[in-house]
Amino acid sequence: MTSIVLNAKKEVGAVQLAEPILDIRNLNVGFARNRLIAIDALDLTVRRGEIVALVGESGSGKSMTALTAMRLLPVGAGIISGEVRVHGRDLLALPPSAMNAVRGREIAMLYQQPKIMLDPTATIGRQIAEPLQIHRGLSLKDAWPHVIEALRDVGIPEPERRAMSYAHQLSGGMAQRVMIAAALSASPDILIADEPTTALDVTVQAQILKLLVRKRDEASLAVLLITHDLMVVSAIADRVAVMYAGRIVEEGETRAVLRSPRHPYTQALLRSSLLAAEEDGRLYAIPGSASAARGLSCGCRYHPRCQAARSLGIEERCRSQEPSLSTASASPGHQSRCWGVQVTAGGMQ
Amino acid sequence: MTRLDADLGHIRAANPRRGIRSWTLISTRIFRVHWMLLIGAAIFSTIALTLLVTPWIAPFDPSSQNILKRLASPSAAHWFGTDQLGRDVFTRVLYGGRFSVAMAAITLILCAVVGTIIGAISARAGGAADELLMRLVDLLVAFPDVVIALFLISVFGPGYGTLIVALTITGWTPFARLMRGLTLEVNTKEYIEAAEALGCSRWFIIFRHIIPNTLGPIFAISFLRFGHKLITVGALSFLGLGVQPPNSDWGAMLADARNFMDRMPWLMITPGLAVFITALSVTLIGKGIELERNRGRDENASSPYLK
Amino acid sequence: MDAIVMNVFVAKKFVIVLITLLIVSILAFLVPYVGSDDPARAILRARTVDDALDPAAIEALRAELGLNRSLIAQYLGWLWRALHLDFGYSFATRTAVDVMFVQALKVTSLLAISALILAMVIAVPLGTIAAMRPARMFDNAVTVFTQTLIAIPEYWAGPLLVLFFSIHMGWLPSAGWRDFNSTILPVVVLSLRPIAYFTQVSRSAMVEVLRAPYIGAARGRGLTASQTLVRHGLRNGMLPVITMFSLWLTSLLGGSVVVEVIFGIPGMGWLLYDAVLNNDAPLIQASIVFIVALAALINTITDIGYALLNPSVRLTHDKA
Ligand SMILES: Nc1ncnc2c1ncn2[C@@H]1O[C@H](COP(=O)(O)OP(=O)(O)O)[C@@H](O)[C@H]1O
Ligand code: SF4
Ligand SMILES: [Mg+2]
Repeated sequence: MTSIVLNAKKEVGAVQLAEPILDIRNLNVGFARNRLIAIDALDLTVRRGEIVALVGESGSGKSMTALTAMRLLPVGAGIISGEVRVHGRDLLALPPSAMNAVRGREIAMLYQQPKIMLDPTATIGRQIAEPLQIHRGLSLKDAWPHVIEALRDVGIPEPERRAMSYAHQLSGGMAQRVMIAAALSASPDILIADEPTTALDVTVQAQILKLLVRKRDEASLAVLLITHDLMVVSAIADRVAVMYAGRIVEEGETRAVLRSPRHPYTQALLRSSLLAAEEDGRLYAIPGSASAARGLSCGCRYHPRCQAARSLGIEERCRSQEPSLSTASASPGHQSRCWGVQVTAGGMQ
Repeated sequence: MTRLDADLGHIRAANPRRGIRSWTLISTRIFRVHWMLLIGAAIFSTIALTLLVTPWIAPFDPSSQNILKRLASPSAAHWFGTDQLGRDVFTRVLYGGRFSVAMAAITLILCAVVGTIIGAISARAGGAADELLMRLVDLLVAFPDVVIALFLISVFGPGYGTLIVALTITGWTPFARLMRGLTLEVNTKEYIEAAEALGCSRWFIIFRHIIPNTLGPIFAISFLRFGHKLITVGALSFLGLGVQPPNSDWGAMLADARNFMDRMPWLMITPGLAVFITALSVTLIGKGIELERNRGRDENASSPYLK
Repeated sequence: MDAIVMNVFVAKKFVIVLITLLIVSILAFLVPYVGSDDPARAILRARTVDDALDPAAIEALRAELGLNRSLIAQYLGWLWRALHLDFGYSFATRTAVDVMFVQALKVTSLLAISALILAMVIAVPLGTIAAMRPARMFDNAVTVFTQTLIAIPEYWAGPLLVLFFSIHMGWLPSAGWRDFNSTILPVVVLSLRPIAYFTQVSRSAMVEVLRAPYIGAARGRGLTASQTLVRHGLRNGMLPVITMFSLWLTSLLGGSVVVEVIFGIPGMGWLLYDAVLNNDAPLIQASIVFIVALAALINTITDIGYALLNPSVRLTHDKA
């Protein structure tokens, strides 16, 4: 699977020049009720035609990032500060009514469970037509040929017949294709895909990823791909951001991050992923849990689980001071948030 | 103040929650009682107490007639006026209430007991017995209460026994449905499996584990169904098939009053108001219990998708 | 696949309905025999004012009705005729029972369906608005409102409305079932409790639907809150209301006795009430069978309607 899709990756370098489509700046989001900061000073940029992967254990705040960008936060969640810029315009500053014109038109989303994201009582054709009706002002009748075309384009056989079917008649993979057709029908500029293949079979996974890459290529779509699967990352992402307890702890070009991960958490993630298992046949589990990190208000969020801090003898600093994101390797844009990296790179202490 | 405190304070300011509603807050935080329950209980206990001491406080004899004073308007002596036979309406409302409320309470308790037991058996037995009992419930639900009562009265003739049997036959089904659902839920809990592993009998499990664990919702629905019972008892009396003369209840009084309603509207207002207020107060108690049980649960949160 | 599952589902339902009808028919048949009175006496009593019945007349009638045959033979005969919709003649009016039924059913179904539609028109918006902000002001007000409606007895609301609209204001007739105006008060009175129950059901269904993932996904495509509500919320939130509608319809077609008696409406409720007062066995027998058959019919229609509204029901229903 890896090799099939890998070729599809864009040439490094070309991407760097493209304009930023989605630009998240210093975003903080939290839940008042259980006193939880879900997203902590997050910065993230996705450029035109670029696939950026956001990875991290479950609970690290990936979905919350996506929902914040869509401004469809769950009950109890509040935006503390920050900006989510799309084409330079801050979505968080828009009045709620103005967001309707943005969702589906500029920014669209895919979800982990495509079948439950489709209305069980409406035909899939109607749901794909909705963005066209709303953003393009087409009638259902006028939108229908586009719907059929969109279905054919995402690889659904017999699109005329399928347009009239319902969510329960589709397989998971089919449903995700339908969701892609619906998300892209009004040609948004950025697609946020929240674990779009996690619930699918491996072969179907590869097909969906290929489809995403093709759509990216055809439409110069910017894609924020949320996943916890490093195989997926290495297969299609141009850049990757690693998230831990609401913060970005490492980011950079996919090859650089996966070949020479600098942050101990990224290293642990890699060791625990199937990418590593292919070499030594066993899976590694990161000791400890991320939940402890949520209560911390100072120091490195990873320090309760970090072995590097102990072996480098910098535990005291890790506990009391928060490292900043700083250059981690020669690869352009490769940064990590770790005292250990700064110590070994800068020869401080 | 840590960063967390500062930031979360900010979220609270950004999402103003409901303001403090002092008296409901006090009642709910300290007594854990919903305001509907408070109001309902206050009204109903007043009614129940009044009906209990009626023989001592009633100003007149309920059946003493005074033709000279028939169909009199409300006055200091006769608060609700007098009826076509010159009987004091206030006194008759009190005595009628004793019958209506007692009848509703008796049938309600019977329904709760029968329904709860059948529901528990149905769930525990499963299979064909369960299927059969639930089909029976479906069948009974298809008949209106009053119609089943009519059928039974056609067979056994009117009378209090028939009335109670009829109202029980029509009334146990909601309890059985609820209990069956609750039992199936409780069944999956470990202590039932533990009891089964210890070789406890089916009946022991039902009485020792299932019934105590499902009492809360059964209580809530009992209060919610009371009003319905009271109204049905009244309906049958209204149709002349419930209470028999010379006794009377609120339904029978309403039937009598209908003949004079153009001239003497108050005859019709007071017994009906009595049914209404009594039914409402008990229903409020039930609703209060139900809402209190659900307080803070997810179902009270508004949808995040309608902003 | 779908078709097979559907067929098994339908066949199973059909068998259950048949067995139920058979059992109910036996019970219904036994009604005049269980009672304290001998059927022949009952007939004569219903027909004559004279309480002292002529023994010869009783014997003649027994022979005529075949009451001397064995119970089983009588039942089979009755069942055979019932299958041809021949339920005999009313003891009291000597009219064919099926003719009386058809007339009464026309009236009652119009009354019941109007009341239920009125209830639905009021309840669904109320429940929906309450569901949009649960546990807030409007929701609480709706809860109190529904509790109030449930606590109002029909035999009080009916006369009160008559008192005001007919006697006091003279706007509407106080009884009868002739023109549109005469239907208003009974329909309103009959709709009170359905309004309450439909509102409760649609509220709780809608609370759940509005938080369903597909509602969020619809917002994600750019639909406004109200567009989402109309396109995806109402349809899904209506499903439980439809079920409730059919339950109530079944129940009300059996006869809304109190309302029909109050307003003097010649429907099923009135027919039944009269039958019981007169101990009119053929009418009572027929109405029992009829109510159950009707319930089965409405149930089937609801299932079909439900499947049309919610296509996934065909598969999920069977598993449940
Ligand atoms: N509805 C919610 N209520 C309270 N906390 C939530 C809710 N949704 C998410 N969270 C919390 O926010 C954090 C981030 O969650 P999420 O973004 O879903 O993680 P991920 O997608 O990376 O698995 C988690 O710690 C989770 O506990
Ligand atoms: S800063 Fe310290 S604790 Fe945090 S990851 Fe680096 S070495 Fe580990
Ligand atoms: Mg997630």
